[in-house]
Parts: sequence; C-alpha cells; structure tokens
Amino acid sequence: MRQRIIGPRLALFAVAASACFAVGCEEDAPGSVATEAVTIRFAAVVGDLPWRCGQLYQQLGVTPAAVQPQDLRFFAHGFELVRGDGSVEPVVLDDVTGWQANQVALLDFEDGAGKCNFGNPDTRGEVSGTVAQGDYVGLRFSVGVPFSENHKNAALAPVPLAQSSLSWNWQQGYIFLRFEGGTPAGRYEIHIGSTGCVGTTGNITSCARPDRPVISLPVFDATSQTVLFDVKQLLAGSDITSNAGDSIGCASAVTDPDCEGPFGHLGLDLATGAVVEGQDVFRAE
Amino acid sequence: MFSVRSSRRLVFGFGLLLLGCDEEQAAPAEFSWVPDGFPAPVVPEDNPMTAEKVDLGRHLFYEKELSYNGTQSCGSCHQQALGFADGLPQAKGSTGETHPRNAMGLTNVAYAQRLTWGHPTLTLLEQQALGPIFGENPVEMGMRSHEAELTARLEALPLYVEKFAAAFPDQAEPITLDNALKAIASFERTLISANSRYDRFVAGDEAAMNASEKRGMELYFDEVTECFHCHGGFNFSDATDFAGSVSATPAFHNTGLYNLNGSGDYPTRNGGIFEITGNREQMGQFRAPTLRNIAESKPYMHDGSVPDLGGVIDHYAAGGRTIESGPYAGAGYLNPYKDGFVRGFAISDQGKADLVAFLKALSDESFLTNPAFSDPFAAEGSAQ
Repeated sequence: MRQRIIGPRLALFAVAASACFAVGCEEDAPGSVATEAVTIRFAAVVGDLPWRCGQLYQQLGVTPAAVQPQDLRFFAHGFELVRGDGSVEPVVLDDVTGWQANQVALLDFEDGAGKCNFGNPDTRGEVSGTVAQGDYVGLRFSVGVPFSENHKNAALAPVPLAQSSLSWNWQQGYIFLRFEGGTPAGRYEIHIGSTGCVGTTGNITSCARPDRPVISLPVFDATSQTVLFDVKQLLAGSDITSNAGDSIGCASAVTDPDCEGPFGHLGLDLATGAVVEGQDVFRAE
Repeated sequence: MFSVRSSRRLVFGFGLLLLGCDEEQAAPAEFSWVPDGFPAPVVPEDNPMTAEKVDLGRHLFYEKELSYNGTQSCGSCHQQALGFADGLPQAKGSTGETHPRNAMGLTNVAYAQRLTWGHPTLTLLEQQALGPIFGENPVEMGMRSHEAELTARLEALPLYVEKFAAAFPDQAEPITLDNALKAIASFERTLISANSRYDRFVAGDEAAMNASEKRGMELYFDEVTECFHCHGGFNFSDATDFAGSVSATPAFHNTGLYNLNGSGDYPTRNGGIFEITGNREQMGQFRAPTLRNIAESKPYMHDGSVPDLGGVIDHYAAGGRTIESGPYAGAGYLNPYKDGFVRGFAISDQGKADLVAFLKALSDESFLTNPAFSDPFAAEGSAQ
C-alpha cells in the first residue's frame, strides 16, 4: 500500500470509487479520491504451526487433547482500514468468482485432504478489494455474513454463499464460521451463526443474537503482515473430549455450555450475541 | 376430488379483452387442484403452480439420485400409504443415522403455517427441502457439499432434461437447485386430503360414519377433551394458513410429554422451538400436526414415543405423560411450560374406543391411493 495521506475529501469516496471503477481507475477525476488495490492475507495456524488437513495437533483445549483438522472456513465482511487518528476507510471488496460476492468474502482453510472430506481442494487465504489511498495503521473487519445477505434464498445466492456446507437451514441463514476437528472422543464442531431469528422464510426480520465477531487489529500493515486465525486460541476454553448441551461442540446455542469458550475467545457475548472485549483468535503477524 | 384442469382464468380473460389483446396464447393455463370447500393454499408469487412443475416435482420427490449414496428419495420417509410418513418412531437417514424426530406426514402440508415439527420461521416448502437434502445434523439425504453433483446427475438423465424444460420453458438452463426445489414444493402442495368419511358425513352422507365414530366426534369437539382447540378447523390443526387467512402468531404447544428433572426440560435434541429461539418458555413446544390420515402415520408425537392412538388419548387424558424411570423419567403433567388446554379429562373405555374410531374416520382412502401422488418409478416398473 502506498502510504499517502488523503485530505478532507472522504465524503466523495463512494461516488469517486464507483466512477473510478467505470473508467478503469487510470486517472483520478477532478476532486475525487484516488483509490488503490489492497489485498489482506489470511492464514490459519495452531499456535506456531500452520493448520493443515491431514495433520495432527497435540495439546489443544483445556483437557488437553489432540485434534485432526476436518474443516475450517469462515465468511468475513465489513473490512475497514484504520488511520493513526482512529478514523476508518471502507474496503470495497472485488467480485471474485467463488470467493467474493455481494461484499462478502469466504476464507477457506481446508483442502479436502485427510479428514476434511466434506470440503474441496480449493482454498482461499486472501481478501481483495479497493480502498481510498491513505496512510493506514490498522485493520477492522467482521466475521460472518451481514444481515442483509444472511437470510436470502440460498439456492439463488452467488458463490461463495451458495454452498450447502455453509448454509444453516435451521436458522435460515449461513454458518459464519465453521470449525471441525477429529478428537479422541470422535468429533468436535464449532459453528458460529446468528440465532433466535424471527420472521418467515425470505422475510427474516431480525435475529436475537447476531453472533458476528468484530476483529480489530490496531497494528496491521497489509503489505507485510498476515491475519492469523489461531485454532489453539479458538479451543483454549473448550474441553474437546466431552460434550455438553445438545450439539456436538457448539452450534451457537445460547444454552450450550460448550459455546462459552469459543464465544469468549471470539469476543462475543453468548447471551446476547453482541461483540465484547477478549477476542484473541485473530492476530496480526 | 383431485383434478388437473386446463382452462383459462376468467379474470385473466377479461384483462385481455380490456387491453384489446387478441393473442389468446398469452394466457397461462390454470392449474386447479384445490378440492371444493377448501381454501386456496398460500403459493409463493415466484413459484406459481403448473401441471408441468407438479409432474417434475413428483418425479424428483421419488428420485433416489437426490441422496448422495442413491438409496433414498423424499418418498423413502414420506410414503403415500402411510399418509406420507414412514411408520418408524424416528426417521432413518440414507447413511443409517437416526433422526431425533418422527417423519411428519405430508397430508395437507400446503396449509402448514410452519414446517417441520418445531420451526418458528420456516414457512416455505422450497426452503424446507434444503434441510433433508443437505442437512448434516443428522444426515438425511447426505448431499452436503455435493450440490454440483446433484444438478449434474439430473442433467445426465434425459427424463429430467425433458421435464425441467417443460416446467421452466422460459429458461435456457433450467436444471438448477432452485428449480428442483420449486418443483418439489409444487408437488407437495398438491397433497391435499379432503375426502375422508368424516368429510362425506359433513357433506350430508349420514351413512359415511357409524355410531361409534359419531360418538367419538362428539367427544372430539367437546370442551372436555379439548382436542379441537389445537387440532381444529378444516385442517384439524391450529397451525394452519391459507391464502387470505389472517396471519396469526405461529402456534406451538408443549403437551406435557416430558418433564426431565422436574425442570420442564425435554430430552436432548428434542426441545421444540426452544432449540431455535433460545427462549426457555418455549421448551417442548411443537406444532400440532393435522389429524387427517393420522391413523396411517403411527407412531405418534415429535419423537414417535407413543405407539398408537390409544396411547395418545391416554397421554391427553392424564394431562401429560408420566415416565416412571429411566433417563426420561418425570411427571409430564407437571411440566411448567405445558399448554393450558392439556389439563386432563376422564374418559370411559367406550369413549376412548369411540374417539379412536373417529380419528380413523379422518383417513382418506382416495388420498392414500391417488395415482397422481404415487411413485412414478414404481408404476413404470423401473425403480431408480
């Protein structure tokens, strides 16, 4: 990213950005804000180790126990770059076939190998978009699918939303974050998504618990750093060898004790689905 | 009672006259399937009923290629002769996994205010079908992650190339998941039962019901058994919607079937709409199914835990079931979330027999054997 400071013309950004797309961004229209491409890299790790299907990771959770990857995918949206003064600039996501559509991006850290047999060979570890040129010091984004896209007809949604493995029919929305691992006890799952939704099919009006983590990385340089998703932290508060509540692991049920660990580490309040302090699953490196 | 007529809509015809339009072929063929005396079901605007869609949907409903291992169709757990239920306490998926719930009968599902046993927001059959086809918890048809293969399989079968084209004539590439769901939903909306012996009795045929059934009917509709409060109306279910009906708060009831630990809990994975809303007050609340063809779809309740209609009456007569021992022990009649209408009643053996007889009079032989609802592959002797 070029480290250029743009002045007080931010209000023009939205207009400028769309005009810019139309003309291919070769030169700035008078009075407009110049934009630039930005790529935000993601990687999944287990502590210091890369997360890979087919591997075995020891000493995870409070028990602790070993985990074999089965799935790790999550949606993200609402990307913003943060300036030194705390002000933010939205990143307009590119449309990328299979990975980014309707301003939602999918990150995919399973390649179908080993026990990840419900996945597919394709993986995705980046989010691409355009942002006003500027001097940025940090990154902010939300995990999940925004409400406006979450409850539309999944059979008509563009990929990446139109994937049966991430649709969540019981709440008529999507699984925002899907983690699954093989454990000595069998399987442990963490499925994060909005719950307590009300309305009717195609017209869901609200969800009692949004469950969309907001990740703030105050120090992040997209040109040199990567956003890490650390499975070790996701499981840090969980006993993955036993199961409480209805579902295996946590399916975001407000009453499931197994959700307390992952919700806390993702910076979510289990009772309300609101964002709270304490997120330590994501970090910059 | 079930007929497919090709005639032009009167209203539409007037419209053409007013517009001075002489292209008569512009008028769509009307698909008429609702029996006289029954209201029109709610049909989504983007999925109007057509004979071609219903025909495609019937084939897809019985198509085993819709399960990943090719062993199950929708019709495997929804069998016509059993009121489109499966006769098992709990359904079994294509990979052998047991579902926590009893397979619901699909009789009159077009009128269901909400779908499945306990879902507060699921209203469209088009979306409901995603659950059994792609669901993983439990696995039913096992197509999770295989949606591309699903459409590829259909494209490889000439039968479907032809039927999708007929059902969606305006589309260049009609074999899509969305269209498959629309067709299955259209077929399901035709599954209307309105010709039981009770219906014939109400229509004036005094001989259609015998003395025991008539006594049972009196018991059913009285304020002692309270049956009709939750299983009332033309559809014998308070969770009923139809075109033009006043949109009511969706109806779900806790009938005191369980009371684990005296805290009102229901067994794991069978907590009713509480599982979706997270509201404890809704613990154990399930939808009151239609009682049409109920005698065919035993065993009963959301988990198939009551073997027969006599057992169902015993449960309600007791004002809730008491389980003496085991993991589900508890006095259901004391469940704090129990519906007020389930308060128990005294009934003689004869009264119970009469009530069961009346419930059996709600079965509709013409529905259970209607060739239009049957498995087309079985009929052709070429099971898929």
